[in-house]
Amino acid sequence: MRILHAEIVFYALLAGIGGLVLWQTTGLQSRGDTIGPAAFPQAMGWALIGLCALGALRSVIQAAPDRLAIPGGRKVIVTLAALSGFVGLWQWLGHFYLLAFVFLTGLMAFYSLDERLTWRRLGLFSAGVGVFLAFTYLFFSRVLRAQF
Amino acid sequence: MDLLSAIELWPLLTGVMSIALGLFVGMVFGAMPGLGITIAISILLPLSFTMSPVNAILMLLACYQAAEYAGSISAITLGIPGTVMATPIVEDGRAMAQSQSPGKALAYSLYGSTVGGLIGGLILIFFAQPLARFALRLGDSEFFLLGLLGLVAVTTFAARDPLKAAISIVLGMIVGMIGLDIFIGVPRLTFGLPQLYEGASLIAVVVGLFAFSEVYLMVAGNMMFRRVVDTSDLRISLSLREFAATAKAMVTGSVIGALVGILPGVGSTVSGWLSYSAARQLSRNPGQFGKGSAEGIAAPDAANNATVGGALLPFITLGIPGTAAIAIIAGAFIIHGIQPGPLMIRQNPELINAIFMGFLATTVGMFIIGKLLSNGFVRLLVTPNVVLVPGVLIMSIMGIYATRAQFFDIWLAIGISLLAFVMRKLGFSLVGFILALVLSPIIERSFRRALVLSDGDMTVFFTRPISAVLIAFMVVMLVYSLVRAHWTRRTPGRRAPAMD
Repeated sequence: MRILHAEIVFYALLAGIGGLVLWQTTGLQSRGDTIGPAAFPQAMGWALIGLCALGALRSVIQAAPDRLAIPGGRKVIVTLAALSGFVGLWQWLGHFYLLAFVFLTGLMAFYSLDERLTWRRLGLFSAGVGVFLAFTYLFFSRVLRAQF
Repeated sequence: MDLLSAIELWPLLTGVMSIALGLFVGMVFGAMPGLGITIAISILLPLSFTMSPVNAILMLLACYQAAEYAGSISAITLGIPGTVMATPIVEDGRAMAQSQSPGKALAYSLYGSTVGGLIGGLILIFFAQPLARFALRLGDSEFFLLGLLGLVAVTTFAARDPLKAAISIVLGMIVGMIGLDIFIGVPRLTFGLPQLYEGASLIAVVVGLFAFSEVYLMVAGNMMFRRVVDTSDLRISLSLREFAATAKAMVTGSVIGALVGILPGVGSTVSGWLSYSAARQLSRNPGQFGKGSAEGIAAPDAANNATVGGALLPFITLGIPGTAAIAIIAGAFIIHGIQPGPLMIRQNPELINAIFMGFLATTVGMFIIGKLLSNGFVRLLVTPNVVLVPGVLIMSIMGIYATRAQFFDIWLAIGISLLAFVMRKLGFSLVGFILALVLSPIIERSFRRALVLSDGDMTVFFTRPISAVLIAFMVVMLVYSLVRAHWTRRTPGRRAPAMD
């Protein structure tokens, strides 16, 4: 994707957020206050739309030929998917430490594919994650009294 | 031992432990290229929920101080700065590490950082009271303009692209407005979600902005890559003669760092380079700079740490954070219901004194830990990203959840991280976003209160003398920003300095 296109899509998205802000604050009434609770968010909403229009115009005029580089894009997507999957499963099933063990070991195994994943390496990752999670369990549950 | 002394001993002990934790985390994250100050503070911020206000604030300040120093560890031993602020140290630090020893270069860096931290702390202590007394004379209209000035300064000094910085700031302001209205309590921009009534969780936003989005950038390279570190002769010590020879550079760097730190949006990147140039101008051996000059290491390092004290001055006395790190530290104040500003100095003198004394203690602690453990931190640099990335992810998730036990906050952080990732890729300003988020309630509250008090008379914002001066500053900054943007466009290859 060219930077020009990425910028225009992003400006459109941000302008949409500006529109959402305006829509969300339209019905807010003032009670004794001179400008009311809607004035500031609405000013920001309009400012966002205006600045994005300016930005999009500038991008079109400059028309940067460069492409948007996202090195390791596949790894970014897998990381994001694993993160979302882990949080979703934890929210649904509970068992934080068990899921965290699978999530962390799985991520490390996936990242190590950059070179070569061996059984020895997998064993080391599992052991390391186990020790790390044991420490975090002790710290969060015994010291901070936080339950997961 | 009587009961009273036991009661006093416990806060002291917990305070020391909090500082030690902050220093340790700051050194580890500051030393690792790619991690840095904001991630370190973001990860520690959730812990501040479980601590007393003083301990929480001191832990974060210790982390900030230590990370400023630790950025030089990888700059010297690897030639890769751990933080952007350590960039001026790379050339001389690496050259000295190769020609003399890495330990000697680290020693100049640590001694410089310590002197800088102490001078920055003393400037903070001596100027906080007078500035706060002055700030008490300011009205709501001036506070509104001060907040605005902070944001204009970020657009002017801290960003490569003023338009994108302005958009980031507006976006941060909008996120800062989510929640119940500060005057009449009606929900705004909450989309009917009760989790947003208290506003977007600052911790979730900070972690999403800085920790998660950084992780997406870290996965780009070979995750198994292990750096090779020069671990020969890591004795970190200076003789009195060596120290005295660089004292002038350290003091110069410290004064420049503290003064630059006071300016919102400027930060230690600029102060490091400024002090490097000043030290070269004042040096007896300017030709040595770039070839392993001790002054070339000590001056920017002193400036980096003095910036911390300088940056705290407007934050503590006026409530205006000037850097991303201070904006995140402001989160600890907000979490504990403390409003930084002139009234805090009057109403919480014990807290202020504890912060001031603790700040000096963090600097001394940084020196001790740096001297004892720097060689250990050097060896940590070989840790590959395959270990760091999952570690940062899980610590961030646990930190967010531990604060409010809300899954919503984790999803919010993931959503914000995607936005932040795209913003970083397209050159928007995360510093502007976070500063605006923190300043948003101050700016809105001051603006609306000023209008209520003046019966809606808008002239209140520019008729008072201080308001006029602040507006004049803003106009000058905006003109400078436009001229610089025009000049940068006309001279290809030349890039404006940027902090984010």
